[in-house]
Amino acid sequence: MFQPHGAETAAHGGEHAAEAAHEGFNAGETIIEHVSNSPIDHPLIHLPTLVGIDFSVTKHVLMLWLVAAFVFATVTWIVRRHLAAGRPVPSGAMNGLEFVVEFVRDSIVLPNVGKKWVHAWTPLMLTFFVFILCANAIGLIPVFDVLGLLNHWVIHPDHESFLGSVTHGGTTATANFNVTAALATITFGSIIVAGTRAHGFIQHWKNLVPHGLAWPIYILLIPIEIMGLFVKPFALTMRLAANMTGGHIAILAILSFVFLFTEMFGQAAAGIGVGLAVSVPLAVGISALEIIVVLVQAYVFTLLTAVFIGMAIHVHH
Amino acid sequence: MPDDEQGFSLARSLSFLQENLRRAGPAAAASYALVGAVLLLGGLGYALDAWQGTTPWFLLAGLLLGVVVGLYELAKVVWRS
Repeated sequence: MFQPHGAETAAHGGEHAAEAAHEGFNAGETIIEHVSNSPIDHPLIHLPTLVGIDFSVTKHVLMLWLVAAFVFATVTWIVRRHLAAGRPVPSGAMNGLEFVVEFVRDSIVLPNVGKKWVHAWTPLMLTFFVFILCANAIGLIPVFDVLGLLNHWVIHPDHESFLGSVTHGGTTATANFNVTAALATITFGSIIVAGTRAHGFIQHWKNLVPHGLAWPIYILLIPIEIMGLFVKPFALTMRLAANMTGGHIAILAILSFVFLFTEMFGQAAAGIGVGLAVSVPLAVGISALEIIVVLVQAYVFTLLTAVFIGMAIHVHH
Repeated sequence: MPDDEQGFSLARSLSFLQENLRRAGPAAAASYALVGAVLLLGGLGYALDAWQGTTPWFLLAGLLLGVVVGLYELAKVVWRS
């Protein structure tokens, strides 16, 4: 998986290498298996099919739920504890939480949305920021991989069972295009809601195109504007998911050198040497970079949503 | 009490960073829209080609349209400022 600990990955990969000993190590297949969602034929939890949609829970859905539960529980707990203490000055975790809230409000929402609407849109932006940040960050922490390693020696679960599938490895929920597409759909909806609340429904759509032009220009402009409407959320979707997937693939590709070199020279020493000299230091470096990417991507998603909402509210011609 | 205007101050650096990021926001939006438009409309064109077997005309039209839409979004940001 994408964890910073090379040793664990080596252990995981070791299994694959052992399995694939007779047919050779296929780096591409292994990498894709690690970054893609678990197949719908073998979901973690079986749920019934309603209205033609299979509600079975796959790896990414489970991670999504875990992140949502984690964010909800942590934030509620911190705020409740602060309120129960009854102190006017926040302390400890509440201090950190207030820093995040103020940061999002003052440096993301306020400059883009403006004073009048800042309180209407800060909650949504905060939800985006905290959720994406946590989803990205939890993907970087190898919780399930460590559990899986323990399992491998202690419990020996059945590979098809829930425990066996879960401990096979965690993933980043935001590395799935469907998740980011859902988030961008919320952005798409909120742009329309923001424009409608600020200007009224009809006026919002009129605001999309600059007025006072000759009519032939409108024939060109209106389709372009409609496409632009969909392009914005699409760019958000691709950027977030591609960034989260890309880092993982880079780390996995570098770590797969170990197995490729082992195979090439026919001895484990070559692979371990390459691993110690090249793969592990590089993978650690990229993991450090990933920490920055995690922060920046959460920030950029929130910032761009705020910019788009601001554009719908403040229409200049 | 030395004033905050001189030397390195974390708070001052952060506020400058914040100011720069705020100004960069619309530009970032426009640049992502430029790339996103080309990818989205080019991808749609590619899908249409694959479906209808008309390679490469829809792909070319999609890419061209993507550039037009992307540059229009960029131009809107420039006109605003």
